[in-house]
Amino acid sequence: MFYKTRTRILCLHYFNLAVGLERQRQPELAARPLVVVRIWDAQVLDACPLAAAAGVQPGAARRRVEQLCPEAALLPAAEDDYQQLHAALRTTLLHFAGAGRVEAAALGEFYVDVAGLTSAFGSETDLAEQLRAALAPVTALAPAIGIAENKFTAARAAAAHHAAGCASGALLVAGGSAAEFLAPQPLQALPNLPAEMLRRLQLFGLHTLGNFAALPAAAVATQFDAAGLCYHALARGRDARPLLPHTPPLILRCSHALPEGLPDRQALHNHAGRLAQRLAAALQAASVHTTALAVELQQDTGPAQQAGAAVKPPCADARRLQRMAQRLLEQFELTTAAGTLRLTAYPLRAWHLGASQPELLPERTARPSDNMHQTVRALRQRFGAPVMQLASTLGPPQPLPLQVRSAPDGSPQLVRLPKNNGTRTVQQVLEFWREQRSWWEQPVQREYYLVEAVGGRLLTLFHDARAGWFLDRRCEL
Amino acid sequence: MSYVELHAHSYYSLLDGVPTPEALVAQAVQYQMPALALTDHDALYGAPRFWRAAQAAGIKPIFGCELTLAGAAGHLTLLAETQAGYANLCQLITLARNAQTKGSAALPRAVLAAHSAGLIALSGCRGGVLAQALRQRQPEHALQLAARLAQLFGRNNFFIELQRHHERGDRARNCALQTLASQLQLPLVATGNVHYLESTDAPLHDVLTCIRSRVALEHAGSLLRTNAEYRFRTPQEMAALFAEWPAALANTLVIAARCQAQLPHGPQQLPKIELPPGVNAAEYLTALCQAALQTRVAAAAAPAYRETLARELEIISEQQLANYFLVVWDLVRFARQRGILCQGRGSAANSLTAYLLGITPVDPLAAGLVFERFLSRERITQPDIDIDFAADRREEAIQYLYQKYGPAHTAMACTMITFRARSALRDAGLALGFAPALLDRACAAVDDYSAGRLPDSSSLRAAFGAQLDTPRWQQLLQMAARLAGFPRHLGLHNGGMILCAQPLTQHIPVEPASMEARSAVQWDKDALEMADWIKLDVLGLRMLSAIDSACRFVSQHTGSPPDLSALSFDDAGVYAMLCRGETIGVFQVESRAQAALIPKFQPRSFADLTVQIALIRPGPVQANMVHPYLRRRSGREPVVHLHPSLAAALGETLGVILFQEQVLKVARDLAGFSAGEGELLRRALSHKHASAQLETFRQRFIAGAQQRAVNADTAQAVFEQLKAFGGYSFSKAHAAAFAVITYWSAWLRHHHPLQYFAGLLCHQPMGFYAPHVVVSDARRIGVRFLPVHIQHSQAAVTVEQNAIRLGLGYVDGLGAAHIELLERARPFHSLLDLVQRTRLPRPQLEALILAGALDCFGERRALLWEMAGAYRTAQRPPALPLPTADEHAQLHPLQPAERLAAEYAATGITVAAHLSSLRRAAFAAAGTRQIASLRTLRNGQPVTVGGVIVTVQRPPTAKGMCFLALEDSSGLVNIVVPPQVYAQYRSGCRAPFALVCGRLQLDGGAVHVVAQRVEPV
Repeated sequence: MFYKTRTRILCLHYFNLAVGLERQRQPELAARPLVVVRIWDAQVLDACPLAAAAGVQPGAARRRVEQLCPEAALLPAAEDDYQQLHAALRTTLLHFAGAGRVEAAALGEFYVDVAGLTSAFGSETDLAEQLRAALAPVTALAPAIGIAENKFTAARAAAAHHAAGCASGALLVAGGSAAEFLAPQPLQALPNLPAEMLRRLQLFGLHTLGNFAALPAAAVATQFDAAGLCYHALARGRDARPLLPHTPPLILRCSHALPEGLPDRQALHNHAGRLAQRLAAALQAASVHTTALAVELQQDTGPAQQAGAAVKPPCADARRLQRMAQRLLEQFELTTAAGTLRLTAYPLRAWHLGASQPELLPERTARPSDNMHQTVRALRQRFGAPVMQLASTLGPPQPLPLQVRSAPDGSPQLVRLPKNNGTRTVQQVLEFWREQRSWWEQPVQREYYLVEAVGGRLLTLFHDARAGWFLDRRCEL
Repeated sequence: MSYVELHAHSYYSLLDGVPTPEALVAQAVQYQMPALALTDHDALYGAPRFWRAAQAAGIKPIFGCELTLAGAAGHLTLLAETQAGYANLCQLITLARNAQTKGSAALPRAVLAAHSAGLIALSGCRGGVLAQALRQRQPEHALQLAARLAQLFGRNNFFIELQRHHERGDRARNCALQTLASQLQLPLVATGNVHYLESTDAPLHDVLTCIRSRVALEHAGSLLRTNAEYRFRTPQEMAALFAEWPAALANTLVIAARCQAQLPHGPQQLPKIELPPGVNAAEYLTALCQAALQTRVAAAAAPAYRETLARELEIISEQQLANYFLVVWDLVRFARQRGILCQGRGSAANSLTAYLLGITPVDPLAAGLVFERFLSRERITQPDIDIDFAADRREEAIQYLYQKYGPAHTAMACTMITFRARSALRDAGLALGFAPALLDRACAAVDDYSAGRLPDSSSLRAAFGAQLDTPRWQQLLQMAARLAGFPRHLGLHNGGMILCAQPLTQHIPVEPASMEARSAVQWDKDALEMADWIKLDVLGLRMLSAIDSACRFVSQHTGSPPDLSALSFDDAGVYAMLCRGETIGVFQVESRAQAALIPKFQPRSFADLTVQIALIRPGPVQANMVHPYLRRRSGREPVVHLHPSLAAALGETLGVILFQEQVLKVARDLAGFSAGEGELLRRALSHKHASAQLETFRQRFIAGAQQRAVNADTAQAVFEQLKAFGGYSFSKAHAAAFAVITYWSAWLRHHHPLQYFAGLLCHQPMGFYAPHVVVSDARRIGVRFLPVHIQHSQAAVTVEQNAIRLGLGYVDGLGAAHIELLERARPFHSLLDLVQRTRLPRPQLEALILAGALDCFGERRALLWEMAGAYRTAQRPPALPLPTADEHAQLHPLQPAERLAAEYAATGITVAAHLSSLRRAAFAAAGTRQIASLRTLRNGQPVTVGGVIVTVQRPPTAKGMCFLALEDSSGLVNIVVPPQVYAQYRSGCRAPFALVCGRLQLDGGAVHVVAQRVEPV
């Protein structure tokens, strides 16, 4: 005999967690609307209800905030603190509910499967109170709690609880009454509702979930196809999404202590490169790609400097992250003081999301060798270093440093070959050419000589303006 | 001297050359070269500038190009040796451009033979025909090619071109070319293939390459040159590089000495129109004018007209422009025969000849105009007649010229689109690998116009702060700044047309334009002027189209259209309407600035209209000419002339120098300048950098005045007055020509408002206001409107049952093809019928429903709902044509405010009510007054008004002031927003609906509200 367990999901949501923390830290700002802005991209991370009412939304640009809510206090996001609190809350919930019953959905937002736990606590209300008590030592912020038969309804219950000024207890939505509970809520409560669908629903004069739910399913299918039916089900209080206990961490972070007396920017780039490799390894171990990369440099003298950029497409490729980090570092003022360099990757997504067939053969190239080089570059960007480790064995041999005695006009006269291959006297310079390229990143200035040594051997040498003489071992395709 | 550069690219090798033609010449002069060749890719865009710079510098300009051969055959460098060679060069470039996509060229080798005479050919660069064959290891093929080219151009006219840029393979290639030359006994020549002046310019050249190829630098690969050696080398450097080929260097001098081709100087011989037998152009012109004189001028005035006409015809004949006038006359005659409204504008309206020919509408003697402002013996540039045609029919006029004179003899002037701040930032940024989203942000933030300002841009600094100081951003800003003024791509001049009796391609290469049935010469208007070529501007004016449409609507109503040419400009009712401020839709006087002026100005005559049009311009406003004039006009200030002899010239404008023609008159009356000399003075006054010239004029002016018994101090004061105002003055002829159209539009608005507003709405967008403002204004004077109707509306607005029926063209997203589909398929019986028979796309159908066009089929919301089912049924009709109960929904009908909002969203117009009714409750709660009632209140009274903000202006000369036009159902009012109020209520000033609290300002009939608060509603 099988029993169908009644599903009960508890949504625990610390609304405006970042704003709340900042208010705790700076109580003198109590009277002002507060907006927390991420430093590196100047985008809103969190906005208090007053600012939200003025139109400030997470993801909005700082300038937009200044236009919409000029009286708001804009505070830099202390993301470390928010992530630490989030992790601590999650740990407490795991202890409370047990492994496999907790989903960390977003910063400060959790779902807990409480089906069957009520017997231990007496009632769902008592359960909620016990949960609050367990969380109280972690943070003084008060969570909103909603309990319902599915995630969506529980989330809306939590939102309603929050709107009612939650201080205790929870908002319970009895089994079977989800639709009735959801009916008066606005359409915008539906998660990620496409703008076009919202527009059309409003054109039809439908503004609440109840209005939407009242439509016959067949009618919804006619108007909005299958996607509409999914939202229609949500509006009717039906949400079949399971709890996901194993979600990617919100961020991954690597940091590295910088010694005092950093000689130049190149040394900083080297550190960033190593950090990027560590971060990439961590991403790959977690099977996730990053959608943004932030760099922070905190030296003992001066304020912390942050910069960041979106990673498009999301990746876990060390070389790409390294190059991005180095580009971001160009924006920083560098001193010789000791400090810490930190790279943060976030938010993360499962690697397979957004995958698409890559374009391997780029346009507008003239020669087969250029095609090959550019294809290799494209593969590297898409699939990361492991693929390219195999490919690099097919690459050109590296030039070898040489000792050369040159004539007053700069041309080589005597060449000492590496690896004890002896000394060669140049009989004549057959050809000379000059390369001056890559001025926009690491300039290359080389003067090449095709020489015939005594004995008839042909050698291609070049003098690099920074690094000296080399033997060029490439052969033309 | 040991060397002349025969292969140099300017920035007219679009996105492949760096230096200007002038910079190349300057460098050649510095190197003491006696000559220089300009060889841009497949073009002679820069030839006039090159020629002028070389003439000024005293070196010989050699005209050439680097021609692209078809079939990836490579390049060939061509130099014009003789005038025939120059003509062949133009023709070859034209053939190379023919039937190619814009910006590209490919000359079939087969046509070289027919156009090789007079040209010296060089075998080209690394991309040249011979070098390509050698690189592909085909020496025999290279030999054959060389032999063929030598045969084609002649042994003495084909040189093997050697270049050394320290690239790999240079030496081998040069040796192979030398071998080839020896085998065929062909001469060698050394060239530099210059793409920039100095090595430090090479990065800019790389960026240009990336912009051209649309790749970032890091992905450009072999598109970029491997080093920075394509610079303009000194003769000494070239001598060292080609030491083993001394003949190659010497031949540069030989070639330079041989090349004698000149730039074809204008004025060009125009095509001749058909003349009566035994009569030449000047005689025919005279006959036409005299015949017109008989009919258009009263006998009493005839002597003065005959004298003026004789003087004009003499100058026209001396300058051999009789044919030009006849060509223009013929074009205007064609247009009038076809019923296309047209008239001349600009300085040509100063000409009695042009008036008598019917080209311009203003009697210049009656209007006190000066012919020499248009044409004189002293004038150093060719005259230019601009004709405005009804915009929707302008193409007929253009095609008439093409067909009458032939496409070989007719083309448009090109225009060179150059980099500005935003385009430079974006293109350089993409080349340097900046993210497109970041560049979008930067371009949105920047408000500088010139790219040269970017490194110091305060708007960018405000947006990006210290980020701009990073090396990467600095690299971008410096690189983008260097692009300032660089040609980016070729465009078509708005209406400038070139005609020539000979095929144009004998003088200027011609390219096909993107627009069908159009072609363009490779010279822009500045180049044409430099080379002294005559052009004719065939322009489009939407107001003429609107007037034309209005006249047709009147004709439908009354049986005949009004004869605008017979109007006498003295209808008191028309002026009274203007003085009441009813100017929306009236040409040139509907702006808020004009509307603010009119109550004080009170125009009562054609002359007043002319002054009014000239007065409200940035120039007179900036030079503080407006208020002195108004004070004198209202009698608050006496009219004072610095000398009695100025009264004749300045009396009409009460002592204020307003018109350019007055500069000529003052110079004539006070200092004895001829009219032609006065025109030269006028031009110098308007040039910012003519200080040396002005000093010469000043001395002559004072000397001339003293000869007329005017003391030096007075003369000096008058000259200073000319300097202060002359540069900002406006052509009276132009203002008068426009005043004719202003009067016509006002007359139609006054006497036939229904038809006039219908005409205006047929040709939107135009004018100062959005269509909904035009509609609101029309409704205020009693014009009725009918909404868009699927069964009755045409594409354009029509007049129906004494009302204006909005056209289907007003429905958002409905294009010409959709409209044609609907017109063909109707009448429709239901929504389903419409969908089934037209399969109109959903967005367009939704727009029609929201616009109310389908109200005949049911309530709008129900129709929106029914839409999805209709499409489904149309795709896959059900077995039984019955809707299932499950597909029905109970929806509330649209409320009136929702209907109004939907109509506005779908058409940009509201027919049922004014837009401000959407916020009626909020305005009522705030206690707003009707805008029309404001003039009954007292000056300085606090007021609150609410409405729709229809215009927002923050002119750069206004020192931070913002000017709004606010409209409610009763009218419009100007809102003046001081800078501190704007800073505080910025969002209100940009909102669609606003509540304005402030103080009323009544100033001589003008009504303003000086805002203290502007809040969005």
